[in-house]
Amino acid sequence: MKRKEMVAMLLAGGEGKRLGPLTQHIAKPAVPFGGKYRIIDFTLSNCTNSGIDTVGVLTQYQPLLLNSHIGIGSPWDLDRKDGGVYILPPFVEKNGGTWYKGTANAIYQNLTFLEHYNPEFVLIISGDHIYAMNYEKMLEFHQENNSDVTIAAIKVPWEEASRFGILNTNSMQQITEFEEKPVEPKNNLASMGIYIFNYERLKEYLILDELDLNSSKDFGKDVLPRMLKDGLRLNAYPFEGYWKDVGTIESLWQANMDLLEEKPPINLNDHQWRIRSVSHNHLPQFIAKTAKIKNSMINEGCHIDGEIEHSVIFTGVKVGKNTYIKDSVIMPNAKIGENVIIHKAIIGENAIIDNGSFISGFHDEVTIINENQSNRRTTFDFKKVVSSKK
Amino acid sequence: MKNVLGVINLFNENEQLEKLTLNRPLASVPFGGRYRLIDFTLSNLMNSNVKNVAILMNQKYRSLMDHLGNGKEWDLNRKNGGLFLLPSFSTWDSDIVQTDLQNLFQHLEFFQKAKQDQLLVINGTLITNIDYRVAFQVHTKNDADITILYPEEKNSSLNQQASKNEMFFIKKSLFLQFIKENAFEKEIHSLSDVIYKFMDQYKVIPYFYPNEVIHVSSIKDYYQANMQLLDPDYFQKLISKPGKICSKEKDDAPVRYTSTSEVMNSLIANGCIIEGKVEGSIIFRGVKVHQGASIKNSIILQKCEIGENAVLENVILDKEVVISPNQILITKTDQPIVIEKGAIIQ
Repeated sequence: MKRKEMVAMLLAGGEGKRLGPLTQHIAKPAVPFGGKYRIIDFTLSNCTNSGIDTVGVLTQYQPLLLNSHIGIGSPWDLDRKDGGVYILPPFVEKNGGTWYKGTANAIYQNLTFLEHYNPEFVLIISGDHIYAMNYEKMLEFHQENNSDVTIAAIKVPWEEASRFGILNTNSMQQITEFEEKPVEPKNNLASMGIYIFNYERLKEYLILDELDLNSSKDFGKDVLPRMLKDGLRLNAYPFEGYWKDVGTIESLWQANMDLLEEKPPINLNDHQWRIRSVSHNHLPQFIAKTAKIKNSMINEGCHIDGEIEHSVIFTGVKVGKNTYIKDSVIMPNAKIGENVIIHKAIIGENAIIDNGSFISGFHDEVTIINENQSNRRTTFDFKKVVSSKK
Repeated sequence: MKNVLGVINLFNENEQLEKLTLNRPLASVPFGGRYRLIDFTLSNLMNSNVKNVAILMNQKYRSLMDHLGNGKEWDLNRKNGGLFLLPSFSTWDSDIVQTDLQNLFQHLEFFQKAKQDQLLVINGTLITNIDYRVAFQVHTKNDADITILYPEEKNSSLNQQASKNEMFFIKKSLFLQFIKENAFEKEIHSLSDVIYKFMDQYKVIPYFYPNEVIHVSSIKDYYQANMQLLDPDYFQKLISKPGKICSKEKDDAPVRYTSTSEVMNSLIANGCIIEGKVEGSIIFRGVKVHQGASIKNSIILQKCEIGENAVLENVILDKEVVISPNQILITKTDQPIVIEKGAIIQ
């Protein structure tokens, strides 16, 4: 096997509990995002665009859709003769086997895979963030600083800093202290959960961590603090740009809305940094005579008869006449009837919204309609209220 | 259909679409927002379970090769069989070939080695959605030498129709014989000439199929065939029944509409950014329509850019045309003007 300079390990086993009904049947990285993509497309595209051709995708929770989405990796040019994409689920061996117990344990269980390629460096990323980042530049930084580990870090608003793992650094951007969700943060430099390790060091510490019965087998909580304690060189790689954890309904909705800004934080039309996904040969979208569309993103295969304002509409969605959709995200193949009003909502895949329905958030919250469900079962029918107001 | 080799014949494209076929064969002319004409034939073959497809290409084939790639979109990137490209070429003792028969003669070895006993020869520019399997059953059940497929509604003038909508099954042995004996006959110009000359000597049967066939032979035809797609039910049916028509996939972002966009009764493909007004038009992938621009009853091919306050009505823009701000291009007749690829109108 040819030695690879850097292999990426993409953690994609997360359940995404806080996404509620959206992750009932699919893993968080497979949740649709941005009109045609799934969340994991952003990290996979980052890998391809950064020249990484070997990616292990670690799956665990509800992997069916994720597996079929990734396939042999051809949308991301990862169907390679040497390397390419590997789906790495937990497995059993002669003496048993276990689920992935934490981020570090997941990589530990796949050391055989890494050993196969025997890379100089290992990039560890997770499949549930939206951002565009050139990992090649991060690797250059890692090499220039002669680091054992480089952690990508972003400045977050001070008031939110206590929600993140905070990195305290010296003037050389060398990490001096970790603080996991500090109550009184000394710094607002947050870890993005993107690591580059020297492979030999990583191997050594994963084995040490596995032997430690008190460890929770997590990079942020166990492995990295141990490395710091042992005096290894850990550097923070400052990242400036858009980075969004879409782990909650609210943040998922917000990140979709961010794409509708006049200058969107991630330019999906940037041909130098294409975000790639699986596409399914749909028709161009049809915008009917009765339709009105303002400030929105709409994907192939849609048929729009109604009015759309400031919304993201995924593949194959039908919107009936006299329907008004505002500030909402409509996921693939949802069918929205006539005379419907939808405001500030996420409508799940294949949902059916009956004629005359009224769906809106209370107290500025995002309403969510489950995938594959008809709205009758999940929301109130406010038809009468709406018509009397008109 | 394991025993069938699909042969898409792109010779004899007599009908030309002026500027649209200046640098590309008719088969790779863009259609319907994201397709090219040959997608229909390739998808029909795929949906009929034909696993081996050869394409006879006559010059100007760069655009076509770019579109076809390794045939993956039509499931033709196979280890055994799949897509075979048979371009015209010149050898030390001959000039570049002129007819499909001469081209077939140069590629005779390919056909001799092919494992299939039956060929399905198709003109690659027909817009139709058809399953060839029923016709093939008729062909084999009757043990016909040749079965010619005709669209049902226009079965009066067989010969004329057949030369236009060229689709037929033929036994390979007979096909090889025809090529060897007629490739350099002076008065014979094409494979269909041979078939009509020797029709009486072999068992040739017709097969009438119910599907509609659109044949694009002029700019007017092309314009109408596209505009017809603005009936979404018709388009949906054309593209999905009986089989799905597939085209080359691109990684274009969803269409972006800004707060100034006004769009109605139009087809818009991915990768477009619409800031202006679009009505009764077909907009292909990656087109930019700037603020204040107005497009009506037009066909705008890939990656065009329409400047601010420009007005277009009844026009066809080939790929990558740039219309500078405030330009006005209006034709009032049913013969829309065509702006050639890459032109800058200022």
